[in-house]
Amino acid sequence: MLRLLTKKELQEILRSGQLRIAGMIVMVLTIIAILVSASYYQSIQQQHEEASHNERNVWESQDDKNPHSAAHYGTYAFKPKYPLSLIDQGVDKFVGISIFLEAHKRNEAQYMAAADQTGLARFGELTPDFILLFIIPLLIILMGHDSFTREKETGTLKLMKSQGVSLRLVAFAKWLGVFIPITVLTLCVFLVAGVLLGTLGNFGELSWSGLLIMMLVYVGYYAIFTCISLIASSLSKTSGIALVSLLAFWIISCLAIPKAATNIAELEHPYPTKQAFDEAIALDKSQGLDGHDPWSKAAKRLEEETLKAYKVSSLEELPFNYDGYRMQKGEEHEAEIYFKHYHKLKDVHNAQTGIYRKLTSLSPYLPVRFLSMSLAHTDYGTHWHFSDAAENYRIELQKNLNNNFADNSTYGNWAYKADKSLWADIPEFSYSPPELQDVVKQNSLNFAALSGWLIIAFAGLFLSTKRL
Amino acid sequence: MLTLNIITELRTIFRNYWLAAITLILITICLYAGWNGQNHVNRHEDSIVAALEEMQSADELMAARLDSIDQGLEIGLPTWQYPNSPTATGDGAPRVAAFPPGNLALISTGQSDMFNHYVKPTLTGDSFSIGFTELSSPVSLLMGNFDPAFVLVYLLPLIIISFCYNILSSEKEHGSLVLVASSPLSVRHWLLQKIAVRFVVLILILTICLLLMLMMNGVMINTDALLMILMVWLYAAFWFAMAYFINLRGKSSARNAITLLGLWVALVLAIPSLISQSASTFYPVPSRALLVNEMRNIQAELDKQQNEILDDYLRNHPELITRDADESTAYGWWQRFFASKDLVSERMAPLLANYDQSLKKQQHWVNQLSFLSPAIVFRNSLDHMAETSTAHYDNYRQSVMTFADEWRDFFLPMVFQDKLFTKDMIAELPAFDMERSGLKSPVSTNATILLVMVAGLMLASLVMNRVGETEHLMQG
Amino acid sequence: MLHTENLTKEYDGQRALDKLNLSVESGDIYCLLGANGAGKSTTINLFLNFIQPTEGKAIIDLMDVSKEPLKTKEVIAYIPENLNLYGELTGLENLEYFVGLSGKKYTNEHLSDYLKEAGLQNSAHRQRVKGYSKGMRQKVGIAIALAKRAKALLLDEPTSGLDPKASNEFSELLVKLSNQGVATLMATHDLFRAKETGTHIGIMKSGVLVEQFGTEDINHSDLEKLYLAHMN
Repeated sequence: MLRLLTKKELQEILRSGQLRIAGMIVMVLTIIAILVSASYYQSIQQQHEEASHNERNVWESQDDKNPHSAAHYGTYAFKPKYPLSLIDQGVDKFVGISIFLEAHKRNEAQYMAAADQTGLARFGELTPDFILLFIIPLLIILMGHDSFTREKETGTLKLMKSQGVSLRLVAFAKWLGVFIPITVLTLCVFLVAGVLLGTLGNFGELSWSGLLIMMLVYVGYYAIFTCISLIASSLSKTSGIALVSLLAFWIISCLAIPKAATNIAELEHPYPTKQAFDEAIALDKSQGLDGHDPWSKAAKRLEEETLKAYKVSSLEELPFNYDGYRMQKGEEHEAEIYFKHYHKLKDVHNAQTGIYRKLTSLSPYLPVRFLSMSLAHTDYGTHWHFSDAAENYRIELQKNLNNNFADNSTYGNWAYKADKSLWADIPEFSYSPPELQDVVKQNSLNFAALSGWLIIAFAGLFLSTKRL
Repeated sequence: MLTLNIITELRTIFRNYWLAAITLILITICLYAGWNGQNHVNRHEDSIVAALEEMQSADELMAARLDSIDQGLEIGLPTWQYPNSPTATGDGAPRVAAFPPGNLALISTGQSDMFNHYVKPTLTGDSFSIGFTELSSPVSLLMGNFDPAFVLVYLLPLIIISFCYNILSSEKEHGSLVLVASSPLSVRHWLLQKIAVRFVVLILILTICLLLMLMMNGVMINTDALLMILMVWLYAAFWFAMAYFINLRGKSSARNAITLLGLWVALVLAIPSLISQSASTFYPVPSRALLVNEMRNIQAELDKQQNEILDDYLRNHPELITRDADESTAYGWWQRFFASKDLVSERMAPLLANYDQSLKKQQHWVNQLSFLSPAIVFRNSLDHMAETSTAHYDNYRQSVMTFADEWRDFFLPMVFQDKLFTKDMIAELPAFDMERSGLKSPVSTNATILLVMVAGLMLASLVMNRVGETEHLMQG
Repeated sequence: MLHTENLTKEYDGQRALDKLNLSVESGDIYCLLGANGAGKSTTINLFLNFIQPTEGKAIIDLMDVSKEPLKTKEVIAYIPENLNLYGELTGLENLEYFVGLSGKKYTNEHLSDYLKEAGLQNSAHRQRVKGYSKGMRQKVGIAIALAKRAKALLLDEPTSGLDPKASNEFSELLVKLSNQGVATLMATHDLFRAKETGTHIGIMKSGVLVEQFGTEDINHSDLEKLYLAHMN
């Protein structure tokens, strides 16, 4: 029975000229989007590799110099791209691509791509995630909005009812009629992406399970939209009303709520301005130990403590170069200040995330958006992860350099030059993003929201068909 | 006939729940969006005010310290931070180069959530490495804002579509069209009058909402504000003309709804994203990652030839040569510092110009194609009037660069000629002034494009199915 | 008043109307009978210029409909099977509107008089039309014809779906109008009404007018026999 009913729905949908055209347009757009993204990411990845390689060369080919000079000279950490970013760009465009790692200072990632684009880029770009998140739900609405109203308008619903068939079964068949073609389409998109990622060499290792989970997230998203389309269709008198109300739902959940969420988040938990943030750090730093300033109070205290600890009466008697030691202590102190301020910033970020999370109950788009970004390693969380890793590397690097300075020279000997070989001995910066399990665990609330939506959508469909 | 048609149309609209619903929706979203926009503007304004206040008190402190130094008093700072040293003041007492929000800033967030609103260029900082990007959550940047521009660009067309998609088709489906068609009049003109009435009603409500929103947020109602409202009218006119055109095709309400929504998706979402994508595909910005490499190579190279650099530099800037300049003094060190800095800037300039160039090319490409979508044209005008467009921030950046040079030129002779900074010089410090002459307003061009679009649609409606008009409309 | 000359309409090569020649003079009530698809509505739609003739002409008051579509519409009134007015407007406002579309303007009293003349009770004049019965709406249609001072009336199955009383009232109004010199062309399935109200009857089959005669020349049962004979 279900087979018969579903077959009829599929026939109707697949034979409709309108839907064929719409489906074709979506297909073409998707292919363009995937190809453009693939070539874009390939070139970005290549640039990234080249840049990291060159930067390491620059670092290693420094002459003999004072380790602290090398620390000021610094090095760059470049943020890599991950295979699934082919499907979802996430916030990548809005975060910097490289972090300058130097002495005394934690720098923000520089050069966000969006700053190098026209204002039009803020409209969004034709990327696979744009199609998956915005356009396919519209296609579902187009397919599903008149599934019941059409039967009401032509009177076939009465005819069908008079045959004694269960309306629930009819509704389920209609659901399948919309859902099956959409799932096939999604499957194709992910398959193409997967194959493409498998064959493009420099994309890094593709996690098939990540790809699969991501696909399931989208399929769940589409199941929700399919249910909602059918609910609207079963409750509306005419196809026009169903279409308009579904569109209202779409625009509210995909555009209005995410944007309103931004405003609420910015109002409730505003980010400090860059200047204010920097100044707060500068203030804290000026009150603490400055590795370059032996005359400050904090420096004097450190001096006394050190002398006491090593039971010597003058800095020259210490078994290491006190300048290097003080530099390292200063570095540690500053790192702490940065840690504190970045921690505060992270709290703001978490509070903002909390607001988005609360609003997931109003929009199925939000959990999917966040899940998809996380799985693709293009979310803000990954960026934080990267920036923290870079900071840890920076601290390690400074420690290495300062210790070398302290251990290999005597107090007051600023002319000390470390041998070239030191630069190569310091390990290269390498970064690996959070593991899939961690991503899944961190996003448990988003998964819960998505499941909640699924349950509510199916329950709604179940209830609404009762009133037909 | 015209008055009668107007009266009747008004009666129908007023007795329908639509008008109440639309008024309510419009007023709510306009005021909410305006409130959001204003909050955003306030944050920017506040940060600038705070920075300026802080600068003022720092100046006062500096003046007091300079007095104390004059009187030979201890001021509790290491000597290299003494404010009479030009390098200390050039770095320690920077001016606030602010880009205050414009009168209509609340209309469109534009790029204002991405870029800084004030920077403080210093003497020793590289002007090319001044960070102009704001510390904002990328999630916020990705999602965008619920600002008036969003309401006007995205939501307004949908409201118009839902108001007018079935203006003819419903009469046909309901059966009143045959009566109208049996009257001695042109259905085309009759429909035009009906849609014109709706246009005027909606425009009126919208204008009131917008004025209310502007006034509630203390925006001055000047010609720019009126011009903005005029642009809104034109954009609305486009969507009404589109609804008229689509209705005249004589298809069913459901078909009209789908067609109009399809057009909305195409014009507001798909085409802008396609154009933006094509802009960055055809005119890719050179890699920033590789720029970092270039910069590092230049630095490394210059590091190795410090001495030659100074000689070259002084040959070009004989006015900066002082008699006792040699490497053993601090001044010798500063000379070397600025000399190599200048060289880095010089070598970087063509590389950086590439970015400006490709951004300009992108913008040119986008402008050329903007006639494909009224949403692009309209959004562009709103951004411009709100002073939050890419061009405005670009202009701001250029102004800051110029100012950074001015700032340097003020201190450099003192550094090189070993002069001290004095209290009277505080008043002479260069002040930042935003140069706006380079900003060309796209509004009139955009208004023309929109007008042409509306006229084109009306013309197409006039020409379409002229022969057998009624037959066509009746049969669909 | 209403004439056709070899009026022909084809849809995709199918003849819906084949060389129709008929004429309805002032004061006539010409009833067109025939099965669904016989060409009755097509004839009326051609008079209204709702569709374009493939060949021939429809003439109203000596004017070719397809050449002077607007002028000819000034002299006619049309009542379709389902007269749908604007539900949110009152009967009076609907009348004002549709008469106004023909460029005529009356005071409310006058319009009310027309509604009364068309048989709509006073209390209904200021009620919204969405509460009207079908008969009441048809009366507004007649009032439009009256107020428009139409010289010709085109009716497309106006009484189908009306109860006998309403249908009878409607017929009486038609007779009244015809006494005032209005030419009426009515497509109908109601043989009884056609015989009672009409002055002439034409029977159509597959786009061809196969029979026409005066109602006085035939009685009810003969009419039915003749009609059925053509239908088979």
